[in-house]
Amino acid sequence: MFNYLLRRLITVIPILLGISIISFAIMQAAPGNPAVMTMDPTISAEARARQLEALGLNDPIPVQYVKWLSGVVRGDFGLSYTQRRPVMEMILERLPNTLLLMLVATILAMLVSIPIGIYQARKRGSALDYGATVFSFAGLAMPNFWLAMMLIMLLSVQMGWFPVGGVSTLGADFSILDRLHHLILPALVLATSDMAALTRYTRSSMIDVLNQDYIRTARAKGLVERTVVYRHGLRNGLIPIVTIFALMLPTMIGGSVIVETIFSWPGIGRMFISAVFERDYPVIMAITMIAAVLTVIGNLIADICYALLDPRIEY
Amino acid sequence: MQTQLGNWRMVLPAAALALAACGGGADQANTTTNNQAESVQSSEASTGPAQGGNFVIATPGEPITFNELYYQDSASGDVISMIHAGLIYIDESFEVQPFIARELPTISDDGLQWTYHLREDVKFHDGEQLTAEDVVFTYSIFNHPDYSGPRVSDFELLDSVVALDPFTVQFTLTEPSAKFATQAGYGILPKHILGEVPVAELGDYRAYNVERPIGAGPFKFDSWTRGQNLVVRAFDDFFLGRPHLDSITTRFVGDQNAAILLLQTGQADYVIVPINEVETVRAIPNVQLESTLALRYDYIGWNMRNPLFQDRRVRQALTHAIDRQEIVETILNDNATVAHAPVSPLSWAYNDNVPQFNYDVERAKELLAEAGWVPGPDGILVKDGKRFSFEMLSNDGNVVRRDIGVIAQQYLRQVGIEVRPAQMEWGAFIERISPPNYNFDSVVLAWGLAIDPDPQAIWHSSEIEQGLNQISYSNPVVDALIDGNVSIMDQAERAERLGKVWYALAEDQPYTFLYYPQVFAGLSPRVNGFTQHARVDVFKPYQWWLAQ
Amino acid sequence: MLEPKQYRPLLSVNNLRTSFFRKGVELPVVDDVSFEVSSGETLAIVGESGSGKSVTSLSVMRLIPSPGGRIMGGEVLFDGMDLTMLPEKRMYDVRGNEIAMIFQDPMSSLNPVLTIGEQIAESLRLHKGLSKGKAMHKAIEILRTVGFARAAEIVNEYPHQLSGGMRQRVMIAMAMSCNPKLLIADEPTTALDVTVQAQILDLMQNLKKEFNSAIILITHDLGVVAELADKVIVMYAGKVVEQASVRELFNNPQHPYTRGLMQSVPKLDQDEDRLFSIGGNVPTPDNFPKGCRFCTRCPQVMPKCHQQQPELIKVGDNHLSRCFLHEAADV
Repeated sequence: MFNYLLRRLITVIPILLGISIISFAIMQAAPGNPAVMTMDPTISAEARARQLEALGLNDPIPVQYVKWLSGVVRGDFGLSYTQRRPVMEMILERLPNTLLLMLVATILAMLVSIPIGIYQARKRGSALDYGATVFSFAGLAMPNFWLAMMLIMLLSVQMGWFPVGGVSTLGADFSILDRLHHLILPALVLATSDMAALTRYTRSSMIDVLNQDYIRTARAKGLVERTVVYRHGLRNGLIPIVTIFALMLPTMIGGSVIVETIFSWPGIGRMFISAVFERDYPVIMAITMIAAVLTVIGNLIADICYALLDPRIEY
Repeated sequence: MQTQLGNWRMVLPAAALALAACGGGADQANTTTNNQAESVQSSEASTGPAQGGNFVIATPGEPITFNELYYQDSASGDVISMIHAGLIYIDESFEVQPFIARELPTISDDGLQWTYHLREDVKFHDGEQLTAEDVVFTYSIFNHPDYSGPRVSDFELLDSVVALDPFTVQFTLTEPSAKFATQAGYGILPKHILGEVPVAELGDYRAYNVERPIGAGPFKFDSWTRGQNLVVRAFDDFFLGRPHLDSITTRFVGDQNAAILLLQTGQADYVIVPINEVETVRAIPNVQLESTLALRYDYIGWNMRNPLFQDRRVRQALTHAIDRQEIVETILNDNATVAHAPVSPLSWAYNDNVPQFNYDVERAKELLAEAGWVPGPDGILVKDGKRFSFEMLSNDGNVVRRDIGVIAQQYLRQVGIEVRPAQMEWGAFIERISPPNYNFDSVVLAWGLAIDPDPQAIWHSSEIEQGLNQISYSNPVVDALIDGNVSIMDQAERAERLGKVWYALAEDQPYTFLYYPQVFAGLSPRVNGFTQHARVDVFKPYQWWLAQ
Repeated sequence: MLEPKQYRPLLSVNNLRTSFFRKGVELPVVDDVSFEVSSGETLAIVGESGSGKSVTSLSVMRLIPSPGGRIMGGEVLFDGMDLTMLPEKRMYDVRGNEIAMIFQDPMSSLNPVLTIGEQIAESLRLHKGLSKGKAMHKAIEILRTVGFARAAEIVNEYPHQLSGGMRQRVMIAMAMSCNPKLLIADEPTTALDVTVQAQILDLMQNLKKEFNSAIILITHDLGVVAELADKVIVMYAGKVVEQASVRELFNNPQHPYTRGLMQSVPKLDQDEDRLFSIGGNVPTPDNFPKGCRFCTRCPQVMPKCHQQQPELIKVGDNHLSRCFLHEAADV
């Protein structure tokens, strides 16, 4: 297993390199550059030219790429064009917020979808099965932003039960409860579409598993139904779920852009969109690489989990 | 909705002067119902301003730097207004008022020497006295060869600045400039903190610019939690007296909608309301909606490089064919006034004695016919085998401009012109229309104007190659009128000269001037002492107070 | 003749009826089946696929999947209790403990993600209340009993690491771990090689002797029946068509179906060009003929057979057969 991991990690490097080259090229190819974004006439043409030069944007693209790469291997992602401060600093400020949101959303999705999926598999054809299916499809069909707005209008503005946005109450001392209070709605919205998908996957995986012969054996041994489903069934049923799940992780970054904007959640999703509109190249590249790394890690985790859960798999 | 760097309006941040001595008739075009200088009153005005409280502003934009010589975005500008103070300031009627200067400057007869006498009770937030040395230090930076900020060309006419004595500063210009009076408003930087920093590094000197910006303004910088909020606290030794408020918190939200939601739930006291959300905010109970004419006009620009638009009669016809009043009524809910000239009614230079091209379909058809256009087989005008069809570009996400494009399309169809409205992402849009591309037929845009009405930047032919004269407008008569207008010190005389410029431009119709929009501010019911300013969002924050 | 038996049979199935439901239509898969098994006795249930033999054994264990199927009537008397009336909670004590079952395909019948030891110990901990350590210990013991020399290592291995024969031995170990009174073996050797088959059958014989358990052996393989069974019932299309001691059945099959089965077994001294098979197919439950279920394939069919269903008729000592032929013979 260790060797396998080592081999996998080694192949990660050329993948990341390739991603960085392609992203860099596409980013540069897009029209507009950081200096033209403000049409400010007091910035004379001379000043603007000076700016472009200072940012190194007059160098040929391959040169710019090499400069960027040499910084990256030293851990330096450069300075943001718009904020004039180290990109790493900006990211470290915001990444934890996004990760926290993603983590909570993930846990929420799991806590809801897996039990429901299992129940659906056991009571196939029941009213709850159909009800949950309808709910799943509704969740899949609902656009994130619509759900977010609805929840805010209803629960925050009308009922006043939840805050309208932000990470914590202004000026108040740090309190975990307060943080959770602010986390719930955005995490819920972020979790919803994943919840829907996960429930479906769990349901079909469990249906499949519960039809297996070893389930019949377990019952024949006199085990109560709960033990049969959870100890024998779930352990097998979870295998495909866990892998799908590890693959869902990187997509959460993208989904979080909308949620972060609507809930004023200071995460890297929002930072990324602003950077794109402002042509803040260092930030764009840094976040792209982070997403790439997370995707690769997600894949790796999926494979590892698969091996851990299923003794038939050997690397 | 893009909100960063004010990119839905282009900003000309230089300040302009209305010489108070000439009693300039600065046009008060405020259309609020309660619009005096101390505009917002609560029902208990008689008890006087209450002390204390935390004022919350909700905005999507997050600032970048608090050094006025280096900022470009309005979010930074708002915070700068709280913590810095300059020699003068421009009030809501666009008149220059003394601030750190005791009184308005004495100007020598040749217009070259400007002498300011400073107050002697001005302190920086760290307790140090502000003297002429600090003023000299600040203004010497602009022309320093190592200065890398955006105001590089602002003070080209400044020859020298010296301290005559600890509280007297003298500026010497190379040419007389009426504009200069409005440029002396930059927040004074503390020499005792920044004096040793090499100018080349000043722009990125974060220890001051971002972490500890010491100014002489009414509020002190307290803390900044990125992505969440920024807090400034009252400065007890502010030279006009401690502000009423204890603190101002700027809360950063995802977008304009989130800001309005906070206003609705009572968690924000002040929010800038975009024009298409005005009705929503109006409907919120107890919220005060302030509005004033913005220092800006919206227009459709015709690319003069395109043969379609090179005949003046055609351009006049285009303006005649579009019912601008309809646009103001239906798209903007009457929150604007139709414009006829590229100058704001708020300005002393405003002159509506210009040719107007109001909605007149018949006249439009006449002019087009005169110019040689005849209806083709599909109803679209044709000339020399070419159909009168073109694209009207605007930026993505701007609902108002999108709608204008559609309305223009309908109206112009009536006179046989085919319009193809299109929207593009801002960055790509800017690149297309800017030099050296000029790759567009027509654009729907707006100019946020400077306080000084100098038309050089937009209308002079020298600005075609690298400046903001994107439509490539070139008229030697106009060029000649613009040249030297800044040196005319007498305001009435200058107004007359500029009046001729407006007249010529109105006749030429290089733009179809659309309207002057209103700008709206939403305030919570407990806000008092608020004065709305057409150019800056945060004005005289030391007068704001909250009813308890 | 019959082996000596206990005074009271261990298991007595009387008129068992189990049906499946598809789209509201009732399919009587097990129709009026009765038999008895005593301790130490081996009963073979023989029939083709679709005869209802597996469902019969599942009915005894009350493992009929629901919704979909249900025991419609009859009684299953085990050690004095009617299992059909027992609350589910009590059935948990019976299954795996007093009645154990092993299945046809040992690969898919063992949980791939649990070790052999865990799966055997599970029963022990559940039914005998053993601690984890003791249960593992016992598991190793049982594995030795079923013939594993490397029992201590096997407990930590996973099913996919064992061969088919080994897995079936594990299944047997698992089933016998709690000393059940009755072992139901559903086609235990069908999926195995012939040589391994012999081993398993030997094992089962030995265990029967050692534990004095009753065995219900479900199979379609007459060779296996001949080796292990004491008595046999032959099922066809949900009904018992013949029932006798093993010797009696092989020496004197009465029912045309049973005869057909006997004939179908290839014999070394046969001199035919083609193997014998009973023409036609077993009718499916939604398509049962009105009369005798075998009437469509019976070489001795009479007009009466199409109209009425025959009852079980005594044709010898403890020998019953369901056919009108015998009726006629009586008369």
